[in-house]
Amino acid sequence: MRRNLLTLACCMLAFVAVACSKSSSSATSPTPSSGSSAPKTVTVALGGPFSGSEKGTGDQIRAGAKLAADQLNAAGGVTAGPDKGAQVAFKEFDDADDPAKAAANMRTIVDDSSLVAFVGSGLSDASIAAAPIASQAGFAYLSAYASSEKILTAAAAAKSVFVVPPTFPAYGYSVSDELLKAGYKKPAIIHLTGTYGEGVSGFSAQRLQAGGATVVDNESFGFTDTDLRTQLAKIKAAGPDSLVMVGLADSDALILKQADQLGLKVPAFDPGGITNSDTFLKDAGPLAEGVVGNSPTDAQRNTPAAKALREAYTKQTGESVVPDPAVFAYEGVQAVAAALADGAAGAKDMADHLHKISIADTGVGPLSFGPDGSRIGGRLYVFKVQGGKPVFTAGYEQTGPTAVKGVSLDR
Amino acid sequence: MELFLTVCVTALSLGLLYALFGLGMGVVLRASGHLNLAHGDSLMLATYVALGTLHLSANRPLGILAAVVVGAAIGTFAHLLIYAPVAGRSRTVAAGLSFLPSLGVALIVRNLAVRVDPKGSQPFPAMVPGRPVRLFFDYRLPPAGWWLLAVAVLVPVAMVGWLRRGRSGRRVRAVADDPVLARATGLPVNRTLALSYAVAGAVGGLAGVLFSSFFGLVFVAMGWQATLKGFVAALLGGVGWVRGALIGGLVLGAVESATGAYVSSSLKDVATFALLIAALLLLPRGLTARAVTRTV
Repeated sequence: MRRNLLTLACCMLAFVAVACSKSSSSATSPTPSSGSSAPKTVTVALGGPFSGSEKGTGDQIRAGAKLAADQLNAAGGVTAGPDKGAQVAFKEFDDADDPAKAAANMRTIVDDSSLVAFVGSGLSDASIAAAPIASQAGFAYLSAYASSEKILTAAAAAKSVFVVPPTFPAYGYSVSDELLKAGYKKPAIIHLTGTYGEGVSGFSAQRLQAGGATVVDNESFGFTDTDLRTQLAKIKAAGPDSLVMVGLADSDALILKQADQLGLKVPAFDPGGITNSDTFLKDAGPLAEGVVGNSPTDAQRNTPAAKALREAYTKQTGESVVPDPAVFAYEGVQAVAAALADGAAGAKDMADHLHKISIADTGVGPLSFGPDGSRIGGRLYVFKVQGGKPVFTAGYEQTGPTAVKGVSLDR
Repeated sequence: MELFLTVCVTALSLGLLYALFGLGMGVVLRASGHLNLAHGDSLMLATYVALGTLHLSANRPLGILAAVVVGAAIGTFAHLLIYAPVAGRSRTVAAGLSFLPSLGVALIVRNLAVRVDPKGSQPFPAMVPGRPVRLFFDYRLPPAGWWLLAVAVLVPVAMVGWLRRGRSGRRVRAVADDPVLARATGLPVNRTLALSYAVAGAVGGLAGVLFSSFFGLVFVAMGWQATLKGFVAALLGGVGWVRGALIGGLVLGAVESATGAYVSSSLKDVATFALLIAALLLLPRGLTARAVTRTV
């Protein structure tokens, strides 16, 4: 009996050990191989919340990165440079949206000589924790969804950190400019606490005040807060003519529902790139009508690269809309491949070459990086929800870390 | 004036929800002396089951019944399969760490819920048909608000009736008062405690459906939130059977709403826990405690 128990315990320990080793990192095809007959492979560290409550974001990052790699590999791999012809493969690092885990992963990644760059990360706090470690090691870090400008300021040491999406100022400025253009002068703000909510709402408030508006009230709420009636009652008492909401898809829907309950009927603006999602449109229902928001992707953008990206993503995943994390992971892998083609020899000079690349159209717009690692050419398309769907009305392009300019829609 | 009235309605609705969360935690705490940290996560999972039932059958009463049954089942099985055996064998209980197994159950349930709903939240339908009713100025209370009021009155009344007049309710009280004596007189202590977990879980399942119906949302993190608020409500009111949780919940709702409206929304939780600490220091037996004289 005791022997059986011992055997059982050993089996369980072995199972746990195998499970743990699989959960911390895992390689995805094509598997790197040292065999002489196998094609040469460059391996990119792919990170994000592949488990936990943000797993959906991680799955989208993986899908976008995989699509880019599949396209590159099908076309013959890296197009030029010392790694010409090499296939792109990934080694996954799950951070479960935990900044401590993201930092620990990054310590492993920078010490792994088989990896050429990092692409990924979900929310900004995980990126802010991990990026300085990459920066100190001079290892190329491409944030593929997190868009806080603090990722760059926290990791300025070796200029090896890049934020692929437009940064918070661009998000805040684009919708604020639309609010001002519509003639509203007394907006109120309600925002999520934390890096994202405070960042985007802060830049929105800054832009609105610079444009001559007076922010009549600025309220916050936590991630798990569901009752926002006191905040909205205070906002209503302040007499706003418009409402800027910076939350997540479900909290933005809650804001609209509870504002309606309180009789707060003013036009709503979302500068956080949240409301162009099925989740928000479904949760908010008819209350979503008229909401003005922004998105780095315009589903009606009509360039060859945009159409190719949409069609390939739909074919691969069955989804009709390419979500933001997938788009930026897709672009991140394209950027790494472009840097390799530009002559980057592995990880050691990857960052230098990333600063030199320029892609005319990745599918969502032009891609190059400024000296600080922020994206030049990142687009934000402003829309208004009409008939239950976002109808895009204006385009903005990030021209520097805290600058945007209006651009026409590519139709 | 409109702000004040809104704060009053918010305080009442939140307070009643917290009271229902606290009722379940209070009953278990009073009956077994065990702090059930899995209470909130169990009610969260029960609410997800209600949502699943609604998707399958579109039958609202069946959805509510499913939440009540699942809440009761989780509580009962967790007690019979985990808490009671651990309490019988482990020395951690003697060290005052009896909450640890329930923390484990909470984490297991939460992880299970994340697998079921990777997005972490789902819209929840209104469980009561009807239109919102205008209360004052432009404020319109949704039908779920009236339902919440009715349930928050009926459930405590039913619980008081069960505990005072019901045979099994009187057994629960007897076990709570003196488990050794109860066992000596032949009462099935373990089964009686399982019943208290079942009742707490059923009330929790109902509270979860009410919460989600009121806010139109079910989300994984609501489990921990419910545990925290229910615990504070139960302790604030004084760990009793029903009255303590009710008063504690209402006070908690009032403090949160008033702090959010008149001080700062970011200080709501600070005010809640400051109040709890103050209450524990000044009124360690809770707001509803009466002076007890013991002869030793």
